[in-house]
Amino acid sequence: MTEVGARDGRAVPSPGSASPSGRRRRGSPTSVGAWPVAFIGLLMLGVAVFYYWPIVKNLITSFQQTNAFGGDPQFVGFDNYTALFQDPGLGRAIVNTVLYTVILLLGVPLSVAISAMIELKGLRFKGLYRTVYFMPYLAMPMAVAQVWKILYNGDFGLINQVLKGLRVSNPPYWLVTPWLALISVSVFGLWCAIGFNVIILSSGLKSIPVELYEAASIDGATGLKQFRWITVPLLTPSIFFLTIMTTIGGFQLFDAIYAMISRGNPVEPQTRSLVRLFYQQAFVDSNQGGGAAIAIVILAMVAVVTVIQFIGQKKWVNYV
Amino acid sequence: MSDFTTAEIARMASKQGHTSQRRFIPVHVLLILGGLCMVFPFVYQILMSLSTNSQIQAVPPRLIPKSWEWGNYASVFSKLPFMHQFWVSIEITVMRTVVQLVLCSMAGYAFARMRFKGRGVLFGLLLAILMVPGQSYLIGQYQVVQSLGLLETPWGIVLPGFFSAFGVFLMRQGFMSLPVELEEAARLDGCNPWQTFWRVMFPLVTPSLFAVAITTVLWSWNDLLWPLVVTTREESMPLSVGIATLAGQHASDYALMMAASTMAMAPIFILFFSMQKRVIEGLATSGLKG
Amino acid sequence: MKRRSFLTGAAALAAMAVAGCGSKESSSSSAPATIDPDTTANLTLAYWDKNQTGTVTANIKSFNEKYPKVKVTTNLTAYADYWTKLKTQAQGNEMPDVLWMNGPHIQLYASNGMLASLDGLTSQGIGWGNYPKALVDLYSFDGTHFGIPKDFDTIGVFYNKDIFKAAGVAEPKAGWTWDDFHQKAKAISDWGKSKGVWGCAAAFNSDAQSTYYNTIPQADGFVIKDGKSGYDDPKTIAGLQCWTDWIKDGSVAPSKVATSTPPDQMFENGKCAMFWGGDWMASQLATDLKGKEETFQVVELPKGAKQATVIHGLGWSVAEKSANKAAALALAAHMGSEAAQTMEAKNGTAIPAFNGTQDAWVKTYPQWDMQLFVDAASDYAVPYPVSKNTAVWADKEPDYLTPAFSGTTPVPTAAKNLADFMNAALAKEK
Repeated sequence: MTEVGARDGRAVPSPGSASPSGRRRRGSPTSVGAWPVAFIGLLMLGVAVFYYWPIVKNLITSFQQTNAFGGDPQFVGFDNYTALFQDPGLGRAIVNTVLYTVILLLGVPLSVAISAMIELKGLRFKGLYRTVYFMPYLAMPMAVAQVWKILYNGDFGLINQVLKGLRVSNPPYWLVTPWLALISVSVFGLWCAIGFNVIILSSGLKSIPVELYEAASIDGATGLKQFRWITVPLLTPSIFFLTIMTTIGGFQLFDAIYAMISRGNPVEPQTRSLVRLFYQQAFVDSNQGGGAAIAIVILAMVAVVTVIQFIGQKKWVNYV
Repeated sequence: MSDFTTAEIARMASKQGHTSQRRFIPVHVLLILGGLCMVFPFVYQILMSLSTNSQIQAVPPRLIPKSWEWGNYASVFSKLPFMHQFWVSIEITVMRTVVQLVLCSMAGYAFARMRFKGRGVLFGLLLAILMVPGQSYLIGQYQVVQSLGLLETPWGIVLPGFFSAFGVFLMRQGFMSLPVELEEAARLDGCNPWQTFWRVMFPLVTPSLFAVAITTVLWSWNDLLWPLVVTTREESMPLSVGIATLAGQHASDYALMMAASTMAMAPIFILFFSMQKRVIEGLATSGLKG
Repeated sequence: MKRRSFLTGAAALAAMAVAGCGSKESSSSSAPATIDPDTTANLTLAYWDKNQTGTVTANIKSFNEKYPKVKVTTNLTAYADYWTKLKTQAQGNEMPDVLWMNGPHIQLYASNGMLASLDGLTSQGIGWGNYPKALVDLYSFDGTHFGIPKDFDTIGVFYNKDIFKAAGVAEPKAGWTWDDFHQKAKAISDWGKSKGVWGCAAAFNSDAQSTYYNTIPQADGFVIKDGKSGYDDPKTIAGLQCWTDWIKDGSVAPSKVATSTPPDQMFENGKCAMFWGGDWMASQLATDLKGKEETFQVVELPKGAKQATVIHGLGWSVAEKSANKAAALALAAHMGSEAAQTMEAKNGTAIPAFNGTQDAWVKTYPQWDMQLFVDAASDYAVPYPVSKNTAVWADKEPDYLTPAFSGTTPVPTAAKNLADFMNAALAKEK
């Protein structure tokens, strides 16, 4: 993640920076004594107290065995990690989390298509479309999850009613069927996320300079070719930003499955995500050390994936 | 914008010719279909909130209720101290948003424009807090808030949320997009870094401020686990917790639940629609520069 | 939705007669005897059932008549979040002063020093003999009292008379057997197939208390005994196998149906003729089916090898680290008093634990045979399985058993695996 910082003053450039004014210099003009402390001191203090301290405490706990309430700690070395890696639930939780994240990532190209349509020059009702696609982002996730749960209901859910109307016999019980349940939850996650993606991408599209297309048209490139060779490359910074955000969010999947797949659901054990596993250990099984170890594993996985993404971006993200 | 995509999409969709308005019809059809998917759950939620449990669970379900059951909304008031919780939500949302705007814009500016040792590492470390699941901060944060004696107070609910890595990230992107020349001019005029920041740069990042504001408002309004843990009295809970409590109790009273969540979500939608343009602009800018 | 919701399973009791027996007074007394009527204190009281808010408030009011300067703040948290919150609070030494406790959690909190000893309350008029011994034992750990029994639950079968009539099946009667149950359920399911009506629905994948925790003792098996799992016992397996058989031929709605729509909802909507549920269902049904009270009835659980029901109850506990422990103990004592529990009885949400107050509860539902729940407790109730860290294994039961119920894993295999897991978890408790 240090990559972000190491980028040093240079804006993560974007289609916007293609315009002449966006060309900016390296380096930071101000470098004076104690001023940075004044500007970030309070924030970093708060972050240290409310975030670093819990993380450090968590790291320490992951090497300990405590009583159910965190008391009476005993150092146990890597025992919690060993136990975690022997837990058959871990593999499934990783698969589930990755599957969810991948489905959410599929939302990025989908959002590119939607925003490309919305931003078509001359299209009417742009503002209305933007608003409509943005709305799910505003919703209280807990509350809309309940609506989706009803839509997915195997007996009286609207989705199955429509399918029956289309002569589909025996439509599935969406949230009670292995794999399908997780996919259904992911579709809900996708619905929640698409609005943010579309807004980000729309602005990326708007800032692509018209001249590029005009020049391309003169060269005889139209339609798909322009899309492929101008639009997509110039959108890559926005796409990259969304990829990072989506991945971090995907790895923290908890609320959606917790709200939609209740404990008594027969597929619940097979839909657990990494964070759900953490919750189980720390809050249900009262195994604080084990829970702490999972939290550290999640942190490590996200960090690794993010670093890989930052290394990989050099191959495909175009900063003009 | 050129007609690149227009041509392309139009051709993909309809093989029609050039610039007539008709070529947009397939695009409209696709966008409307997608838009219905986006909006339908909300419409259905409102319809259910005015229906009855047995109509919702009927096979096939009645989409339009036989009679409009406004009583569902009345019973939310009788089951929740709605106004109390509504004000708590407003209070914590305003507090978080104002403080975040100040802290994040200052830090964002420093990370964008000040040169100091360890800046990159520090910024990376700051963003790292996004990678840890929120649930694992719970107990540690609780103990801090408790030792500060802030349990049960709005300050206890809002304090950890003041320090937002994502907010700093957004503001940093905003400041980086401003031309360096502005600052140089300010400095030549004898401004110190604070004056440069406050008088020259800050007014120029309004879109980013909006982006931070909207994300904070949304997150604060919908935040559940943390306020649930630090508040115990029903009157000091925000609406999100009130709704969750109600849901725990009446999970299968669908009509009541839908009425309650409609009421909890309405303020955000009203706020959004009243400042829609700036919100979208702000968010758009944030992502763009990121 | 279960209004009483100890959703995750629930509790343990000694299989004792409820009425009147057990009179062992606790000998140790450490807590302060009584408090001054002028005591000034602020207390918090935590509970999870919104339906009982009226009772809680009324009982606080009567407490304040005695101690006007003790201010009690109530704290309602939905059951799903109650224990997450309590655990976080406990780690910050900020537990509510007085709180609801249940069977699966009592030993966890008591053994970790989170709860105050209530032995001293005898001097405030709490006589442990006034409560069913099974409940008193449930809330004792290492010979010390950590909870005053608040209420109790047993299980019965609710049935829809109209569906029985329409299907031409005779209504169940007390003394019926598994075979009778199976036959009736099958007949109704066959009749109702085209209408989407099932003979019986039960939450066997999420609510052990209403389902297999009853059939296991009915088959003469057990879940836990002397710190060992009973799931590898052939009789216990028979108490699980019955569900698999009933589900297999369609007599009982399969888990995908019962998960999509909770059995109580299916019952209220006429989608099943019978469902297994606790006495707590009465208050919900009374509200939701107002005006249709005559269309349904309740009957005791069918007999297997023997007659049995599981019994659980809640308790009032006090935080060890309470800043106003004396006042908190006084409040807990008040909540356990005959007057307070009579108030609970009238509210009708739960069967109060104080001996002799149950009649008032039975009378709240004159239209149904609620006496059977009280009788069950005294005649044939069995212990509800708990250990020091119940949640670890109780929470895993559905993971092992759901595939067995749906027929994808043979019951003996699943039960054996569960027994192994449970024994390993129990060994760690030591």
